[in-house]
Amino acid sequence: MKCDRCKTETATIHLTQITGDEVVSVNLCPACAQQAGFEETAHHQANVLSALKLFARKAGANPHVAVDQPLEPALKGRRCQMCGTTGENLARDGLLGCPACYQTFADKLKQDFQRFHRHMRHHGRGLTAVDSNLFARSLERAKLRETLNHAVQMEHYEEAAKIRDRLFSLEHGVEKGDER
Amino acid sequence: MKPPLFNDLTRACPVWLGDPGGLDAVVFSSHVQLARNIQGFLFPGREETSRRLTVMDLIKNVITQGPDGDDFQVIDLAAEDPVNRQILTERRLIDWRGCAGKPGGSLCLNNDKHVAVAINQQDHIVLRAARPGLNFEGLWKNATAYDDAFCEQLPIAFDQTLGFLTADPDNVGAGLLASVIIWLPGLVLSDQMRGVIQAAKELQIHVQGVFGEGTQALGHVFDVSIQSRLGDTEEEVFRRLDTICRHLTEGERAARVRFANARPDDLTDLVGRAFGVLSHARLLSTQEAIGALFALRLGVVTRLFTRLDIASINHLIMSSQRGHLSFDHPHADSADSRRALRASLVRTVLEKVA
Repeated sequence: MKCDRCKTETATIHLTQITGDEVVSVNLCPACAQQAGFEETAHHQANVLSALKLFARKAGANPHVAVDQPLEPALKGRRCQMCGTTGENLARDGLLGCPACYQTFADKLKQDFQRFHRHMRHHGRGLTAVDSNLFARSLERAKLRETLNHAVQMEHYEEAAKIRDRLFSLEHGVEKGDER
Repeated sequence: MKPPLFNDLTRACPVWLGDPGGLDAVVFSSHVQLARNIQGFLFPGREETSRRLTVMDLIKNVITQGPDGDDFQVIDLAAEDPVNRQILTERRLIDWRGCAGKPGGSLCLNNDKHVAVAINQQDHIVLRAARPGLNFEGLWKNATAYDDAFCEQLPIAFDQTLGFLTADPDNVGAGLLASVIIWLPGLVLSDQMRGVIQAAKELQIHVQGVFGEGTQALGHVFDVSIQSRLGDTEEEVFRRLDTICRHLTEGERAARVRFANARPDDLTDLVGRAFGVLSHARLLSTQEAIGALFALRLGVVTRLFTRLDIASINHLIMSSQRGHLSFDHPHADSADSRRALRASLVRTVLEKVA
């Protein structure tokens, strides 16, 4: 490993300071370390971090400053098949990508729930079954309206007219059925 | 021409400033927020634009086709201009998490402004309902009527064990955030707020300033909230928040009386200074205006200052905020011109009653 400051000599002095989540490390050759008055300050452990930063500025070096928290094993290599959210994503912004993520990251979430939540089971308001036919029809209409908007925006009026007719028959087909 | 919706909105007093009739009101308003997602779609942050638009259409339809669908207006947040967006923020009708400002981000707003459904924020549906005063029972009835409509007509992402599935796993279960806006000048002035915040923290109750953070909260207005944890029932959450608010109300009332008796000069000085600043300043920042207006409001409730009523002060508090000010005076497009305008707006009202 080369010295962070002169970039030519081999670094033999490696200093790392971990404060909370922050890891700062500097690698120096003996000559640069002495020049920077580093040996002295290094004795004062409490000041190492600020000394490191000060030195980095003085020397114009760019020490490797990493906010590097090792990923929990329960998150490592996990990736949701449904939405592509990874363990890294979850660790970074604390958000899941889709309902299926609750299975993908079940181990990690279980740990969190045990730590932070009161129970492992929902006790609040429940859910009544949804009429799946009804929803299938609303979904189809929603998608058609979206395509219609798009067609109008793109000035594909012929296509838009077809979609409009299809929407109309969907919206009124149910009523016709009732009359019969 | 100004959009009529925003015209209406900027004229009315927002729910979160409470019922202007209640002179001794400590709790301004109660709020519930429910997060729901639709099965078969990714959460907004991960979903592609065209599918977010489909989600918007589905949710919008449930509301506009509902029994009071005609009472709702739909605001396309992505297309809305920055001043109008700022107004919605100042009225606490929306936060801009998730995809609120991107295509598909919308807000369905009830005419009385007590119910707002945000679409494609952090979750597909964020239902907000509010009422003046401390009233979770009535509020919950109101909110569940809309939640029922969503749950009956849309396949909501729900797990038998985990409950409602939300983008933020911390909110899984009931998907509920219950909060109150509470005014605690007595506790702040008598230096008791630090203890309150500490105690609340231990009870997992979140306290933050409506204008600014912690004990420095401008105007001494706080947002006290509980986010449901897995296993919490909604009733438990409301009961906890209701209990703490009753304690805070009692403490606040006692503190106001004690402060007025023990340090009458401090109180009169506070109100008098505020009056002086508001009636003579030629330039007013938002911070200064809000701080002084709430001090004047304290003068009103302690009957030291009787020339204005709460409603007029509330109105000034709202209209001196950046979005509201820019809406009424589109030419005031710099911070300096707004400071001058804000000062003259407040001065005009105070001169009339002087």
